[in-house]
Amino acid sequence: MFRSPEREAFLRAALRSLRPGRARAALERELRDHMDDAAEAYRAQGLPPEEAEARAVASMGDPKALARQIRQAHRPAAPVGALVLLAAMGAASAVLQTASQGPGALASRLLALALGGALGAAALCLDARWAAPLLGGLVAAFLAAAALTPRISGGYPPVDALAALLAPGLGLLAGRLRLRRGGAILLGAAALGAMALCAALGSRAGALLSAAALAGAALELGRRGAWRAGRGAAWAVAAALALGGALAAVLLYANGSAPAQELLYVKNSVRALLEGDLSAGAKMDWSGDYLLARLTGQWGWWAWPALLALPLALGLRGGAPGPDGGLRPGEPGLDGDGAEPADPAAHGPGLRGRPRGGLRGARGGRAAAPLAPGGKRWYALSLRGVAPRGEERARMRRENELRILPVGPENRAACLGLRTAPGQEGFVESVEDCLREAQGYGAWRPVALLRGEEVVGFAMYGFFPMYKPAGRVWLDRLLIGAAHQGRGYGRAALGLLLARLRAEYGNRDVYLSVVAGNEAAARLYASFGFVRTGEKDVGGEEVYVRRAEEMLPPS
Amino acid sequence: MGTDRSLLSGDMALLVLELLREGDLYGYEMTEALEKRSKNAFHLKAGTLYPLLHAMERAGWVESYEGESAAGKPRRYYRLTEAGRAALEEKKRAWTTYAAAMRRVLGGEEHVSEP
Repeated sequence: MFRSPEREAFLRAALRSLRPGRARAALERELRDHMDDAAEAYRAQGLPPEEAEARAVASMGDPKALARQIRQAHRPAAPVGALVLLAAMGAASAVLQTASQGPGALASRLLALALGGALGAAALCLDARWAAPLLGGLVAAFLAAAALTPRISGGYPPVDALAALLAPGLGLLAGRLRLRRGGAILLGAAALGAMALCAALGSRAGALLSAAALAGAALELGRRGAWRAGRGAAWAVAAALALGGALAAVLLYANGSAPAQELLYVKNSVRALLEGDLSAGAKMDWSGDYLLARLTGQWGWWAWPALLALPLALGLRGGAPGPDGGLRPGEPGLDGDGAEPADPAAHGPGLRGRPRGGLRGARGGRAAAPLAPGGKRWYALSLRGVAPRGEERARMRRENELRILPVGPENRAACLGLRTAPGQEGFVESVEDCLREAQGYGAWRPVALLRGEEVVGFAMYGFFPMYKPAGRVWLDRLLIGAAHQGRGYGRAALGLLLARLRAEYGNRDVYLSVVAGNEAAARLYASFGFVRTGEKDVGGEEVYVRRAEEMLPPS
Repeated sequence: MGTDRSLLSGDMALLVLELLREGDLYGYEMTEALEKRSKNAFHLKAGTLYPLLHAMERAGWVESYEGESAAGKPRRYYRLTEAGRAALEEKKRAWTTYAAAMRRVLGGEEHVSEP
């Protein structure tokens, strides 16, 4: 029931060592529950709430030691299976290569195999701080191998193979572009198209760069949890992308050309294309034997490990919402708001929570930071290489904070511009109606919800003394603009508003009403402890109340 | 990985496993039960308990699941697995041997019966 500074400080210190994610969310819940139970036990012994809370937190022990030990308990296991798979594929390919091209090719293949294995391992196990060295190492390895292989094998450098190694690295970089969902999908589509085109034209370099962009887009999507369905969807997306990439790679080599002729070939192909003569570029050999040979040949066995690393990384890390104590949709114990469409009180993946004592009431007391539109906290989730740190993180937090400001001349127009999403008409009155009503009734206080300088939502509240016996505090018309839904603003805004109501009106019951059929809003309110009163308001809407907290932290 | 193992090899692991042998518990219940049963001799701090539980879960000794407490609150319960049971037996045997040896050395060996 209680949320004290000591408790929050303890949790901050204790959870420091875990990345945002499932494990951390689960631990936070356990620790909160534990403190709830302990505090309750102390209160039952007759201690005043503040004292009980302080003792409960003290009884937890040293948060730093906890952070250290929990880090040990959650240290990632080496992905043995994936590494064995990579090694087996590499070995099989090396044998096939040697059989088809003679022993000279083996040395360069083995060198690149080692690099490929290192890359796969790195992508799967490495910590954030290794991302930059990893990328640097890849580039260095590329240069070294390009310089060395002609001497070892006597052949030309396996530029294609090395570039295949580089592609995931470039993808990582591309993943750092802060794309929104639409941007990522566009990038992915463009990359797929470019790959197909390059493959048809026989341009390896083009296809590889496209593959890098594709990888970046895939990472971005995985991180964003674009389909918000967690690991399964991330796997499916990644598998589809990897399959597409592999297919493009095969087609590319089916049309193979020597690296020296690459540019000339592209130029000729593009010219041919511009002149409408497709036959010049598109000489495809579709025979099964040929494709199979390519699949196990040069590009094939390079492309596979590189492409495999991507879905593995995505599957293992991506699509698992739940930064900072959030819960995964569909997790037991949730009020299951995983899949509903956005609504006036839109939910984001990061801020879901079941109704719990620890969260009630004071959620808005801290700067409630909804999931960033860029899903920035996801950096820590998808590939560990790109977690933002220090100053950047602080800046993001500032940007992401939600604020409440009274509606005034400077934001009035922006408020009036807010629209609910299709399907939500009728759930809440238009801002225009609200403002008109507020003018008529002095008690209403219309407020704008801002993220940074941008108005993302609107709400009204006020105290209405005409309700007997003691008057009622009403919260009403909470809406998040269609363009801003699905990011947790609704939940964050509700927390802030409740905190504000308590600051302005003291610890009182809060009333609101919900249009029948607006299930998502009803669930959101329920998760904050609102219950149905059974009354209907003048408009026939269900009235909900959130009873005053029995015990409040000293404000 | 080293510390991981040392978490699991400590005496606390034995105590927690023993508690779970008798039924599924959530974290706070374990600290309570241990205090009660040891007559307040053992105070299991949450700071020790949860890393231990998570390490044990990872080692496959326990499984966790969402349950509801007697008061109707959602809590994360832990359940002993077969592997956990085996680990418990092993630890118990080691501890009994150790305790018997200690008693023998510290005196009064006539009171000691072989384990």
